[in-house]
Amino acid sequence: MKVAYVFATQRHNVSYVLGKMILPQLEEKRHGVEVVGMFFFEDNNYVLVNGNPIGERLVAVAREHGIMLMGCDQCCYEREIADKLFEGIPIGCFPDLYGALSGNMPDQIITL
Amino acid sequence: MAENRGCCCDTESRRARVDDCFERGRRRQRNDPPRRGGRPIRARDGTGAIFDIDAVDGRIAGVRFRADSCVTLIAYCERLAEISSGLSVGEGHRIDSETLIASLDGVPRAKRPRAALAVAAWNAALSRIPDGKEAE
Repeated sequence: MKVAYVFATQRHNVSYVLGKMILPQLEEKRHGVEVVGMFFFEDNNYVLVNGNPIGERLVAVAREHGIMLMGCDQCCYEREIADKLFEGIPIGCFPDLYGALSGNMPDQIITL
Repeated sequence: MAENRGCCCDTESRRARVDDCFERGRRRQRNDPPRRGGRPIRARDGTGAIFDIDAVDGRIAGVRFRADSCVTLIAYCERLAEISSGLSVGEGHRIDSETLIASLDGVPRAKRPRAALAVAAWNAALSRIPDGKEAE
């Protein structure tokens, strides 16, 4: 099964759910499903800022597994980080997200 | 910050944030939409924009636009409306993509082609103003 994750809520999601569950499982190739994309809203976009330690691991595993990463454009502009993301990580809104996923559609989109 | 209206290419004193321009652009579109018809200028991905420009005595006196709901495009269109205020029509024609890109901080490289789309729509509207006078 193919899944895409949408990180929509804040609090503990990136540091805990992504950083301590999903990411280690992807790194160890035992996540259980194929992750085809991740989209980040609001403060969750800080994980995509160049130099973020969780982001560095995420980008590495995304490149290895062909996972599409994208930040919400409005969220990134509001935080003035749109031009500070890891090289090659795009920003966009729903049309961009669906367009980016259209070549490798997930079976499920999971909002966290 | 006071706008410098002396020269259309004086971008240093005119830099702005995308988020602020986007919000002002959304308000402009909602409160003062284009009055004249016409077809939007579109990029290959279908994203489009159209300007409606008033000129009085050869000077840009009012700018309205409608742009598809792309944050970057709306911000660039709004920035064009702001930096062109009070310029002559000829000076308006001299605003190019590079000028527009330089006037707006924080846009990632992959999104900067939106500036060319905004400028193309801008020039299309300016070209409808004959001899620097407002088209009837």
